[in-house]
Amino acid sequence: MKIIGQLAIILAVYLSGLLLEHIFSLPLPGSIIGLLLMLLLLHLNIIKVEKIKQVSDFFLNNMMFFFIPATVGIMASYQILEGFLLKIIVLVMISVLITISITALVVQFIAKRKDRNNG
Amino acid sequence: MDEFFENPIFGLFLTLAIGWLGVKIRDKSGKNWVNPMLLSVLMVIVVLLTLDIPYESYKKGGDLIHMFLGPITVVLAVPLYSNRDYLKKYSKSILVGILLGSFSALISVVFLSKLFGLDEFLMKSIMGRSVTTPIALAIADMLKANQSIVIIAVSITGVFSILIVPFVYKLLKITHPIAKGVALGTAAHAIGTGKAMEYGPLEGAMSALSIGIAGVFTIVWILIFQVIGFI
Repeated sequence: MKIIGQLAIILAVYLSGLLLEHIFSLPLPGSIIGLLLMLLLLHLNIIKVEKIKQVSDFFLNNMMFFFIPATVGIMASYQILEGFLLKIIVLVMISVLITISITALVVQFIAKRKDRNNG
Repeated sequence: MDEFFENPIFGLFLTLAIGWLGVKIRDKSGKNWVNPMLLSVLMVIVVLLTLDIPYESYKKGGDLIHMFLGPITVVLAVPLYSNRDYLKKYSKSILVGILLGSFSALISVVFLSKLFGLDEFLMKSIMGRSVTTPIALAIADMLKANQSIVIIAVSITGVFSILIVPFVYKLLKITHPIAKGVALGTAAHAIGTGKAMEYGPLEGAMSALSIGIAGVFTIVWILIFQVIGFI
């Protein structure tokens, strides 16, 4: 029963996110509103982490499994990729290099300055 | 026989069985760069093609699994909340770093797409590539782009990131554990977090909390891009 209750809490927060998106015609996807809502509910101690821990651990640890059906969808749309796959791979690689480098440099720069001021 | 495969339990079973097999093969191979998800996808496609089962029939069961990506996005709040003490201490460096990192991920995709001659549909299908898959799918939805392409771009991102990150950190002299973790979480979502855990628990925690923040910031940047008419 514990698992069922945990799942019910998570689905309730998700559905609330969808509902808020719908009612207020928000530009944010309902799932993201649900994430922010969950963060708020945890922060306000309305939901305790233990009350959703097992189900959320299950989802987070097995997340990759849930991507399989959507990825299999490439079967139905591979023509779009024809002739572009190699370009996309190279593009992603360059973009990854840029993203990692910029994030790491910015965080290290600010964090080291803080460490120096404190120490 | 076609009716048999139309039963949603068939697609559900096939995904569960092959999803489990994919992880088994990865564990047996002992190579952490093997992506069990992509391996399973290939095996599912081979089974469907061999048995001549239409994708639409498989999708009936696949959708039962796929629909949980919404609730999974919601529980991304949990690692973020559990690591909030780290966030408090280094809030400025983490938030500014993720803000600029997410921006660089998006802007580089836009410019490289133009450079490589990709059309707008492909560009929009790749834009969400640096964030965790459930959020990347929400982005593809927002931009009316292709969901399968973004997942493949997300997977390439993860695999390539963990291969290059040791060299990037050495070359740029990245030694701060906060920087190492946040950059991996921002640039390479959950796969990067696996790598960050190898560096240490602090790096792993920083990476885990960055996933959700990077997802939200990326969506905010895309909304801004849309409002100013950039995409």
